[in-house]
Amino acid sequence: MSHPSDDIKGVTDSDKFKFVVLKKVASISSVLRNTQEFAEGRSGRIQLDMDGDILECIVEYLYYNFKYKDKAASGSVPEFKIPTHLALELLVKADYLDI
Amino acid sequence: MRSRRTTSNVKGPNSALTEFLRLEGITDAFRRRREAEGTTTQPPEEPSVSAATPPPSGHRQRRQTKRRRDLDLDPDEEFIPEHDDDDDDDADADVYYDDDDVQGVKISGEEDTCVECGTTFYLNVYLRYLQLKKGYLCDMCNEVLKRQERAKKRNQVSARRKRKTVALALLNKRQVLLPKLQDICIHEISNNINDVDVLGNIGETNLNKISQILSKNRSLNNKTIGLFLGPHCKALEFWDCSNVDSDSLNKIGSFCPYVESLTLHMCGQLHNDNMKYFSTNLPHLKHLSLDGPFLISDSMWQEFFETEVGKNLVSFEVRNTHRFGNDSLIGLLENCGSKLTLLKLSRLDTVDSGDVWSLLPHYLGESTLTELEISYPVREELITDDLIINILSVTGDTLEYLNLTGCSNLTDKLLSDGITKFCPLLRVLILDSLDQLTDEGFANAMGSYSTINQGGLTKVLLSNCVGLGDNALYALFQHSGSTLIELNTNSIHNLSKESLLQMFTDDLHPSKVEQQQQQEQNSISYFPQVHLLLLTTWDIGFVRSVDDEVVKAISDHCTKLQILEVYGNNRCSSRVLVREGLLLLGRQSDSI
Repeated sequence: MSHPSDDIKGVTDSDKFKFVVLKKVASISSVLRNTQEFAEGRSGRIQLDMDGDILECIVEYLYYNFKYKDKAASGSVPEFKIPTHLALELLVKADYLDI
Repeated sequence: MRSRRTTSNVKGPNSALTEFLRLEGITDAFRRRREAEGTTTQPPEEPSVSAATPPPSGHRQRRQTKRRRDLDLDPDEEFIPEHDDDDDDDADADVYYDDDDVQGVKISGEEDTCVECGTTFYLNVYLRYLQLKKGYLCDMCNEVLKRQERAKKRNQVSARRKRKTVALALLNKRQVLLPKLQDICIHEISNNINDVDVLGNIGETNLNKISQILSKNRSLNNKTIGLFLGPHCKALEFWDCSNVDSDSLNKIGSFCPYVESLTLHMCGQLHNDNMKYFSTNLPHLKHLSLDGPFLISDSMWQEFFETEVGKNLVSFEVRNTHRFGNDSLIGLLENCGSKLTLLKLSRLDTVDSGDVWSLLPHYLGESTLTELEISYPVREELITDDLIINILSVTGDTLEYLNLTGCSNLTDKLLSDGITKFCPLLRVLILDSLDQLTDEGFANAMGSYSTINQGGLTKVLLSNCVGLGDNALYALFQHSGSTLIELNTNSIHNLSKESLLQMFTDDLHPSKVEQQQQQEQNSISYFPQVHLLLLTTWDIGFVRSVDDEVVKAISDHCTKLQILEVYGNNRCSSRVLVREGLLLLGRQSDSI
């Protein structure tokens, strides 16, 4: 990591939860990737209107995707579990983030 | 052998030990070790072996020589089965008998040296005998070996799981990819759909996805259908309504008054009353597609087409019903025939009058039909070349999609005097199971088609057109090669390997230059290379001439090809190397 702002970005949300995510991990979402051309890219912070638990799931998925995307063919990828009560809301947010 | 095992329980102390050893699962190890010792050195305790025990080595030798004899068999010589079952059984029985006698070996509690690490240890029944090194392993080495075996087993399991995943993905015609979070959510929602009260604003694509998954899982029912209905709906698609009853189908009419396009498949519970309700409550309905509405009576259809809604229809599709009769078809044509842009009629078993079918060109004359399907007529003679040619002559100039599957009375005349004369905009041509089409006829028609249709076809399905062959395929490629995206040549078994290879080999390749010269000298067929720039899906199943070489050539030359189906082509083996990104489906070697 050469410089924190190059590699790490904070994804914060309305509940004042803050998640620090590697830039290349966050870039899996095309929406988050595209924000880098704007003010978010300079500040390294992205404000998202989501609840903390939803965002936690999303960050978990981003890391899951980052870790296993090259191993998908091997068949040894564990299932990604999501809490059932969040499924609907998560679907909306996932749709928004294009992941 | 079995009888000996059952009696061993009452044999006394020796048998109890045998039983114990057998329970511990080390009977085999003892047997093997004893056999090994029997062939190398005779232990001093040998005299104490029961006289009744026949020497095992004799059996072994007999078996070994027999095995050798089997191996020496000339491969061409027919194998003559020998009556050896009893012989083997006897031998096994003897070996098991030997288990009872453990005096010739070190027994539990004695000191021994580990063959692996050389440490001294006390023998117990849990230790393992290594046949390879002819000695016991100590506890530590045994653990290591166990761990290795466990890892090996785990690897086997994961390899099997991997094969399963790949096979499953192959079946679904996609490559193994990490699921998107949206897909995971949709899956979770579908699994718990009965607990969902409202889906909310999740986007139309996701809504459709959930609806499709529910249909696929057969869990679309009276409760779940309600989740997809709302006043904002303009297009509704339900692919499996078999568990949705008549009352719930009425909800479409009451909750979605603005619906313009309605697709109901497997709608066996759709009732006359529903149609009546739709005809009064869905004033904006323009596109109606029904599959299996066999409760709608002939008279109800006529009534429906008489209503305002019926008259407004611009696209109409009906499949799999025996109640849509001659009069219903006339009713449809009279009321909205001139406005139709899409007409799909499939498996209508009671439209059995040739005269009614021949009315089609008359009513469709003024329409701007873009999609037409007439498939699986009840009798093949109902749909004739002349009928289709007449229809095409009046509607062909706007037609983009033509499906004549199963109208097996149609011949080359349809192609030469119909499609290739009147259809300048055609993109999709589906002629499955037209067995009267000939290679020459198709090739000639396609050869002249480029003067009328310069755009080219994007989807051509010709499965089971068994009369077609190399020339037809080449003519098709010449006309539409640059635009073709999906192709089905399933069961066109006249296609030859040489021609396919020629079509997918560079014209400057030495072998092709040679073939060209040969063609000039005598009349062997020669096909220049074709360029299929956009071809994405190709089903070439049950064309036996397709082998590894052909698949390789296709894989190399069709750069956009993603799915190649080779079901029933048993010359396609696991050895063929295909390009990354191309799914090869249906090889025998891919089965789990």
